[in-house]
Amino acid sequence: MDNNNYMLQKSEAICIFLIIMANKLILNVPYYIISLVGTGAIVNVIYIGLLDFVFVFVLIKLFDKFQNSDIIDISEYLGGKPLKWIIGIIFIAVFFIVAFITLVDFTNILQRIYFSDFPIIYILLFFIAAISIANLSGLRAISRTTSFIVVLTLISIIVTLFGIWGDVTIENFTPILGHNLRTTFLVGASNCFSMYFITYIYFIKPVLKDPVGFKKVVLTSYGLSWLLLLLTIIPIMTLFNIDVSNEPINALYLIARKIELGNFLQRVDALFIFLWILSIFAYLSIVIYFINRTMKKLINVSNEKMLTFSNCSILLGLALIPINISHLRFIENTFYRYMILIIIFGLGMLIMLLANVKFKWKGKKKA
Amino acid sequence: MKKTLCLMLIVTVGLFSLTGCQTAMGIDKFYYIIALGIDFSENHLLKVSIQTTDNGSGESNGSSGSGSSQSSNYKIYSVEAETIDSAITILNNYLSKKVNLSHCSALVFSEEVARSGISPYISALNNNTELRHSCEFLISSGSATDVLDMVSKSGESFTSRLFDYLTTSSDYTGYSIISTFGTFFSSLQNSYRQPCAVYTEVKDDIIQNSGIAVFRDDTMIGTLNVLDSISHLMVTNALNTCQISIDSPFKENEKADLQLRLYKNTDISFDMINHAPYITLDLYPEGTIISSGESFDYTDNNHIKKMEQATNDYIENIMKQYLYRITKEYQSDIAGFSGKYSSEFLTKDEFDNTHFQELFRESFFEVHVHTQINSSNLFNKQ
Repeated sequence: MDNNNYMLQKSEAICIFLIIMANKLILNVPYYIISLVGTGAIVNVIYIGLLDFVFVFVLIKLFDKFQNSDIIDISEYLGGKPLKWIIGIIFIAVFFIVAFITLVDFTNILQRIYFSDFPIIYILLFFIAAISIANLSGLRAISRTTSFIVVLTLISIIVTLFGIWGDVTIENFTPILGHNLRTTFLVGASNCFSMYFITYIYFIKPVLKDPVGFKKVVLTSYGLSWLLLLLTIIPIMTLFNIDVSNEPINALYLIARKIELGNFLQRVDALFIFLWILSIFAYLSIVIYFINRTMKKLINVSNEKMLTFSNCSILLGLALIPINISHLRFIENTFYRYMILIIIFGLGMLIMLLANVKFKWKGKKKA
Repeated sequence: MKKTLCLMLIVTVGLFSLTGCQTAMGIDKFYYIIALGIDFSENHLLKVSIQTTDNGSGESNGSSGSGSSQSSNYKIYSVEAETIDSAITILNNYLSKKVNLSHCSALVFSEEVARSGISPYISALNNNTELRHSCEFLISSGSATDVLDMVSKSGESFTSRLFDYLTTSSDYTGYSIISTFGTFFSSLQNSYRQPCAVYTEVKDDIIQNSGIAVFRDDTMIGTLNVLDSISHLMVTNALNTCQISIDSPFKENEKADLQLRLYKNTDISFDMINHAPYITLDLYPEGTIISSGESFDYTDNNHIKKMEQATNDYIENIMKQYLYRITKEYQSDIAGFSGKYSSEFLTKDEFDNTHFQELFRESFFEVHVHTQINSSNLFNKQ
């Protein structure tokens, strides 16, 4: 099979979804959830889990009518080329913003922890080179590498839970409903953004080898991602007091620093950081792949791989924009939160609903 | 031709990996320290002391032939500075090597520093990527430098282990608590539990645990003795095992020694009576009699019951003494009662409305001890 037309097996698609979710967990997303709702985080995660499940379930149903189509194809069906271009550009912008935040945040952490004497561009170039090579090798290489890395990444996340298990007490999670009902359920509903991998549901169907298995892939990924989120929340709530106005650069890293397996295995954070570097490679490669694919649909190029160079250059350029920690914090916790809610949960769903209405209306007209 | 070019390229790139790099930071460019001591100097500056091996780099020691970084010759360097980080920079300059905290096994603060507020120093150290959370955390009654000096002269081959012994002895004596940099930092961050640490005293050329240093927020406000330490471990369910001496219920002026552990976690219940917390504790110690004089017969159930009652009275007494000291004398919730009480509420707003943390000093207690004596070691009768 030509590498350009490689289709994903169900398990590979699940691994891709999981690596996307794992990267949000590695960065500070779970901490932002807790900082909003306090000790009500467990209840809040269950609550947003239900809300997101309803959303995902409706989305799957809305995709039923459109075989082998992603949101770009559906936009073209709904509003022709203008809408296709608008939606395409919006989603490319979302992908770039998310990739840029991830890259900048993680390279900053790496620089501060291990490479304080190195200019950040060296670390960035290291990532950009790896992403470029992965995308030039094609989806097969990306998905197979991801399938391998995701297992190690998930193990590292789960080990952090067991690493602090001795410190878990009921007081860390009570009062169970957090500050008050309004914060946990009304304000806390905005934590739906944490299940960011939902964005890729809009794009995954045409790259699935068996589109009939779409529902199974999405629901399995959803269940596992939600479980991962819950498992990451527990150690963070155990170690950090959200009432005190301190905020770690990376909560999971600080937990990993604490883990010691007897006297013979200490400083496992070094190993975890290595795994997380691989995980960020895999994740960014996936993002650039979907940017390439979306661009290909918009501008009708024959080989999307050649777009890798330009897209990786744009990503590098964005990552070199001098932003300080307060800007990054604002983008990650506020801008990113509402961008996901408005575009992915609002605009995406609206397009799907209208496309389904048009499909039914056309069907009735024919009849 | 293409093959030759490729080979040349690989060999050229490979050559770089065989060369040393002048600017690279290798193990020989670091000064690994064993313990860090923080005092105030006479000039009202911070006096930072480091204990290190004679060469600090882990290189082989001529006299011992050991390659360990924990060789038997130690040096202590002290500098004065305004902050810990600037002190470390001065040390870097003086030693011409970079001081590295990744093998630091103890952090010793003098009582004077602890009583002035410890938070800025803890925050500075917590921001350091090298320092481990498992590093022992001690408060010294005198100068921290004296503690480092005493440990250096202890004759112990591996002095970092001596710091471990100081705190892990709580496992079998109950006379101190597990106190690491990580646990102290966590409780400093915890709004439901006040921090506490091991309190050490240097007396007659010996360092010994003398109980617990009690903090309110980041400031040390007093100390608890070793019996209070046993009570603290019981309330927090952290007691491994301890030994107590009680008055023998069978003969006046005789003592009985028991080894205790908890067979069940302590139950704590709360009530609010006249705007004061009324806290009931149910303790479940399990005892083994180590020695109890000449007149005992533990094949007789009445003897066991008498011994259990005597133990209950003793524990109730030391427990009440501990509880009233932390509430009335220090007003510091080191046992984490606030956290336990907060778990009875659904929302934090409801808990805040009770003003428990402000009313904590008004607390009064009821203690029920349910001791079970289950062994008399080697003899049942004597």
